[in-house]
Amino acid sequence: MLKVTKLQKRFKSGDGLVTPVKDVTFTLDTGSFAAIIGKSGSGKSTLLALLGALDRPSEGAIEVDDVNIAKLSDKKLTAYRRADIGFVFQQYNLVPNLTALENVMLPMEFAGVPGAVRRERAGKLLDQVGLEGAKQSRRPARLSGGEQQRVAIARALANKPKLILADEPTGNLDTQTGERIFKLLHDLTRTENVTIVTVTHDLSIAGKTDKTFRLSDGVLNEEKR
Amino acid sequence: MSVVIRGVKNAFRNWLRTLAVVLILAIGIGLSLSMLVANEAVTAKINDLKAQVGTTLSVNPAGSRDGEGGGDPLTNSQIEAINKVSHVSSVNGIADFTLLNQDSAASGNEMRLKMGVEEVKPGTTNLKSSVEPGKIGRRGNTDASGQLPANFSLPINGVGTMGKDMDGKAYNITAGRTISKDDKGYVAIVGSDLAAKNGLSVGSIFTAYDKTFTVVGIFDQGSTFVNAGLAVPLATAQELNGNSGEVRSITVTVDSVENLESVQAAIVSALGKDKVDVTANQTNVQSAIDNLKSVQQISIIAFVGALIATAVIIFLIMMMIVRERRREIGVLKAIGGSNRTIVTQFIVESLVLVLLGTIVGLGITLVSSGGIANALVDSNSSSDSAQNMQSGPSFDGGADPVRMQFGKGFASELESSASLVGQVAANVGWTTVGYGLLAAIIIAVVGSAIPAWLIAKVRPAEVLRGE
Repeated sequence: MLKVTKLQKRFKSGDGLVTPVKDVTFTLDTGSFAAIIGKSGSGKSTLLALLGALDRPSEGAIEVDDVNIAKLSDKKLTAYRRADIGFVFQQYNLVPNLTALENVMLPMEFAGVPGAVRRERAGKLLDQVGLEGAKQSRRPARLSGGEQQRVAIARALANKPKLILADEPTGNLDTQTGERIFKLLHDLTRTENVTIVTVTHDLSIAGKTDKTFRLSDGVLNEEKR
Repeated sequence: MSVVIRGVKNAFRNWLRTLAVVLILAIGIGLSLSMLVANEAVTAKINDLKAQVGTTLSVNPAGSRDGEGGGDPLTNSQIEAINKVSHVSSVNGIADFTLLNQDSAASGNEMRLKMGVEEVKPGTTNLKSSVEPGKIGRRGNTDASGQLPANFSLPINGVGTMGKDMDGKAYNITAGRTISKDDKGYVAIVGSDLAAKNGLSVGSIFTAYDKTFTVVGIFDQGSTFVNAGLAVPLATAQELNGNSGEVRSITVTVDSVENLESVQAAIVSALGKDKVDVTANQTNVQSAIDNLKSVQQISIIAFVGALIATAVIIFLIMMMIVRERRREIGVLKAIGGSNRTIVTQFIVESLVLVLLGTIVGLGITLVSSGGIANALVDSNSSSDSAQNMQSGPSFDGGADPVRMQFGKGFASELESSASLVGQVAANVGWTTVGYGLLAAIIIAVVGSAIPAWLIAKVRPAEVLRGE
């Protein structure tokens, strides 16, 4: 379960103090799919960075299965990101000189999974997201945007995380491909029992998730269906 | 794929850039290794020159040399005074005497005595000279019909010594032992030719000056003249030739070439300029060594400079690469990569680039080090020779006849330090390769670890900027 309580993030910008995230509180059950919508600059990416332990909150708590990650040391945060978090980015962010298979193997290498095991699992994950055969040996530059995002999703699943954070995962894709990727993510919540939080501008996609939150000026409110 | 393989693969992400970086590094590393090789070559040359010049000084009575000229003879007390001069390793006094075969003397052959300060009292011996008279030995010794007298044998040269020969060299003993400064009495070491001629070996006895001598050693100095002679303790020779307490010449061994000049001055000061002449053929050699030492310093400074420049180059290149992959570093951290893993990856990448640079740099070193070493030496020696031409000895007033007579010195002074140095042989040995690799590793680690570490400290939230 993901439980966020009175989360706040402040930082200096120029002469003033900016607070992109103000007293955010929400709870998500394991295996649920939530969307965060909001205008550009509303603090969506900052909130995602806090949930993914990419940044530290100024105040508040983020509890993943009763562990407050806001209090963890840098070393433990790295271990947390490695074991419990999977990231999917709008621009895919695959390592360009590694093949699709090697990109998926990377988080498992960081986790110390033996070579043969990680190769087999990476292959299965790519099969699962629909990238099969010779394409697994291609470098990102030789894959389409949709295929790269599939690789990114497979990479996010590599270490069987509890939480997948997706930052506009369909933002760079055409509508048809975007819908397929969304369906893939949605299916994962059922098959892998993983919690997914996605940031999106696309209201039609947001409407298909279990919960939708709107972030406006750092304040998070759940959208009523 | 391990972090090492990923680092290696990263080194070849962009072939054109890899080639450019490797070439730049190769030039830097090649230059620094060339300087190291030049330094080693110059050091070897300095040692070679030092070995050639030796570290000996000759002390003779002022105004005389080899028994000719005037002045007062040298004495045992002067040997003791020289022994007290700093940087003197050893002192060897020489007193000589001449032996004529007793049968030859009985047949009426007259002995030619040395003239000068040392009035040598001749002696007879039962030994025969191992040197055949030849044309030179027959001069002045034949009768009107050109025949040598019956039983003719050339005189045998005897030396009283404290352990070294007339040139200050230790005796090369082939059997038995040498003469030491503490030896007294009627013991002798005999030249190998003289021993062979007379059937002498260690323990044999012979007579000289009506005394019975025991052979304690056989020596071979590599010269037919010297090997036809014999040596006895200095005090014994002084007793035999009737010049008690007097020595013909003194050879001083100094602890290093660098101290020759100061010891020479100290001996003159201690014994008096009007009493002794102290000679050494080291002026130009010292000048050559000084030149080489300046080349040595230049090469070390250039080596360190080139090494620092190479380290700065790899540092800047890695800084550029790391900044370029800032986003990728953020991704690696976001998916669980530790700082250590990321830094290691960049160190491996840097190591690959530097090792490739080192391999090409070694090739550059092989090709260029000899030329660089000789160019450095030539430029220094040329400027030194030019200075010598301006301030050195003039050829107009005629040569010093005494120096001309004794053969050394004058000709040597004409010899420039450049010709003494000659060619410097630069060799790239395994030691140089080892130093090169060590330097490459240090450069690579320092050059990549600092920028990688700086970036690794950046929070991974960077990766979401611009998303």
